[in-house]
Amino acid sequence: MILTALIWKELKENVKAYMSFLTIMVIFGMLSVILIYLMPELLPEELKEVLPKPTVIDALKEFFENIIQIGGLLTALMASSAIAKEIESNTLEILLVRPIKKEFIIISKFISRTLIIITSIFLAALITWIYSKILGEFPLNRFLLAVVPMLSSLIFICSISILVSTFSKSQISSGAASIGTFIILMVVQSFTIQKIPEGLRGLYPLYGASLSIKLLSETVNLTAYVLTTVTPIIYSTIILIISALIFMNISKP
Amino acid sequence: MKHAIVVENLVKHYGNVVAVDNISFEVPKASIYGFVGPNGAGKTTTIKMLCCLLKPTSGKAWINGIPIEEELKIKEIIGYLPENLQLYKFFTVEEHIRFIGKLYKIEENELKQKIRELLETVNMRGFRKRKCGKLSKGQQRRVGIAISLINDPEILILDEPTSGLDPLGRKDILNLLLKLRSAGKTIFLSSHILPEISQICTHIGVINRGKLLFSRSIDDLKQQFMSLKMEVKVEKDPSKFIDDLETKDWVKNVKVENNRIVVEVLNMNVAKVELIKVLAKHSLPVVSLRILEPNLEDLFIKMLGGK
Repeated sequence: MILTALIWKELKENVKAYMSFLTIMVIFGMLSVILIYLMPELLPEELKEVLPKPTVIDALKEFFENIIQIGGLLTALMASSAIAKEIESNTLEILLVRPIKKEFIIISKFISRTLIIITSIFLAALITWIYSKILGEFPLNRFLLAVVPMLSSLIFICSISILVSTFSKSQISSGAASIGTFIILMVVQSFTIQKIPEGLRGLYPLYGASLSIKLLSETVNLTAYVLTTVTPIIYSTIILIISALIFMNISKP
Repeated sequence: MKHAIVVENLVKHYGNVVAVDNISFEVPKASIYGFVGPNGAGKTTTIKMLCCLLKPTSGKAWINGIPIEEELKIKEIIGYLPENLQLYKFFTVEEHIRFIGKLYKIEENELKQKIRELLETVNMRGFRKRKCGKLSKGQQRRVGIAISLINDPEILILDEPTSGLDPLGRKDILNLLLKLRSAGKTIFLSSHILPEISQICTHIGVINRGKLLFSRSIDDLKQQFMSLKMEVKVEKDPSKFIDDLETKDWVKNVKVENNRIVVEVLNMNVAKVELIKVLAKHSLPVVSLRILEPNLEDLFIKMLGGK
């Protein structure tokens, strides 16, 4: 009952942020297809002959590339306000004086944001898939299966931004630090991923989007799929426990 | 158990700063205890320790016999209104109270009934659908009180409950607190407005620079510092009467303001008899004659040694 009430409060409090996230994800999803579809029209005549005709797979790849970048940044921003907003607006005391376990506050913030990320990404994926039909057919189940590893990476970004938020006193510093962390992780991954054996790449928390793209055109073995999907969730759980411990310590009487 | 709150040698340090310095006091059940002191005296720090929002550096405190270390139990039985109350602006008044009620695991049916009653109590029934962000400060305080009452606490801890309110809003809150006390609640409130305290409190504790200067009932206080002043208003020129008064050995001092005379006496019982005799001797037509009630502000200054 307590957790449900806290999640409901979070959803209501952040409805504008959540709706914006959902809208942007859907728009970017649709744009991925439209951009690929219109690409030949935008290119000069000589290039049109050289470049291959865009396919449905190109459009869906574009979807994953856009979503991990834009969605990743927005997730970092959205989750970074979790605790910092309450501290900044001085509302935390309303919760802390109630007979509730403090970890519930962190968990409710994580669950509400995760719910909106999952809903937004699947909705955006579905609309993108419908739009992608103008370029050809792609099996929906395979596409949705490809979405899952990327989703795990976004959930990881959410948890790490909540952790950053527990350290921050203002939304601006929390937002900047979360975005910074996301960018650093992306850069580190892009520079080091090639040195890691393929079977272990799933240990990178942001490898999900790369695997999602791979899944569109290749067969990936189940172990790699599970590793890439489950690893960010395990990391997220650990990060959440750390966040809760830090939060309990900060708000300890 | 006679006392709702017992505080024993409570200390709070912030680094080298001593915010609360070894204070001890007791708050009787069903009383209104005014915790008075200037800004920065340590009132809010003490309140936060009692509400388990701050950990004392040392010392002990019990609420209804429960030590404040038992955080969850304490939070179950108290209602707290912070000084800088910030409500969730996106909630309507009703939603806000419901949300807090759910944090106390109150069932929906009971909650509906409670919300209705509380909105009635704080006179906010007409505003139940209004967003908290659109309420005036006074209305927000009232919602804050409703929220602090949702768990039907025996003890209400209110930090500056009338802070920032206009006189009308202040009067409303004070009347509400009197109503709650008559319903058997113990109210512990902090304030730096003495007239407010004298109006509603049964007990008072004065804190300054972290130290508790005294803690006792208002009646005891008035008894101890009973007034030794009488005020006489007359119709005619009182100069001869005053000259005569100044020769009396029971008179300490006489102050005159037009036809209003304030006589400071050494012994009230003697003065009650003798003053009338002197008035009669000079055949002065009296408009009024009364003993000046000690004013809490005067007492406060007196107890602080006139500083």
